[in-house]
Amino acid sequence: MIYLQLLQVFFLIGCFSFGGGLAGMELIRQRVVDQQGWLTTPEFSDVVSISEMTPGPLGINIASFVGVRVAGVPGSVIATLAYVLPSVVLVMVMAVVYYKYRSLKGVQGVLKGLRPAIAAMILASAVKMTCNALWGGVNVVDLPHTNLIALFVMALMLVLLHFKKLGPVQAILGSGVLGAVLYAMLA
Amino acid sequence: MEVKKIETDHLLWKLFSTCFVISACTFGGGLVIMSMLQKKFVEELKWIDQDEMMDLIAIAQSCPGVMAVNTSIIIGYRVAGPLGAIITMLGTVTPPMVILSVISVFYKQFRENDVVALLLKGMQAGVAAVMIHMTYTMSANVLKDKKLSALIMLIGAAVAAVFLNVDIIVILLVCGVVGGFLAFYESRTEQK
Repeated sequence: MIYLQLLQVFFLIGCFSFGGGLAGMELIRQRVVDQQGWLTTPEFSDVVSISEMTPGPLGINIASFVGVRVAGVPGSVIATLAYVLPSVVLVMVMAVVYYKYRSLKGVQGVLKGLRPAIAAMILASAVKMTCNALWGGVNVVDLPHTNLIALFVMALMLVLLHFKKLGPVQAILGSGVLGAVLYAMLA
Repeated sequence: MEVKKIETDHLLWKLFSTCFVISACTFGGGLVIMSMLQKKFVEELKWIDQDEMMDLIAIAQSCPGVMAVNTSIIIGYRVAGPLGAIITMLGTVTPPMVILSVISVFYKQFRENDVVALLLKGMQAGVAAVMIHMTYTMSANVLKDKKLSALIMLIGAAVAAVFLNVDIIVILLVCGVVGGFLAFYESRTEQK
């Protein structure tokens, strides 16, 4: 039953989406693209881009998008609610603990331990998204056939992100416009 | 009693509409929505004071899930209990759910538009650049204490995720347990 499957997958994603937004992307990608095959990698990259053009958090956007594609509007509602359900429960439990003891030390220790894992997840996501942008996938890496326009846009955005403190939203939208112009002129 | 109940109805509606409007109108993800929520509930409505808000945000951040949603849940809980938490969650989640559902339905036509296709293709490079930059900032942050344990965990987790295709959840669980254990061990040795 597809509804049950959506519920299960997004509930699990919701339980383990630490680090927020783009940091949790790799977990979602692994489940939705690799394991379930609900989206392809380019489609996944599109959803991330569309997410930057529309209001709302990335995780919710992906859950809604996948939900509709797989099982229509009910699918969207189920996927989205399944995704936030663990947050509702955990946040409330933590709030109760907080108002009772006013201390969160133990939790902070575990969170500190999670940080290297989150950094590694972002790295994994970066590798996959870079391969997708430059070669169209992880398994088709082929240096002579590198997409040079993508490489140029990517390098430029990296410089701007790092030295000019450009925001991620502006970087993604900017690369869309710049890339579109370059592709239209050169390719 | 009667009057109080009407007031509660109003309160829930106000919670819902506030979160709905902020979520619908705020571009740029979690941090922006979070600061909007803070402005509204601390500075405008004065329902929560600044220090308490900082703690609530720390709690929201320490739970899995989306920052913006977590923040709205805990504000809802603080203002009106469990029902409030569900109301604010629904208020925050509804706008993106509706928008993305509509886009998802028209995705094929949307994607086949030449201009959109080029824009999205260009943005793939932007997404990659943002992720690379985030990797750098995150790793630098993890390694800034110059702890060997953090470096080993980072490299091990990266190898497991990129080359060995280990399930992310397994990686998170292992690192969480190891991290918790290390923190416990460190606090014991500090006390001595």
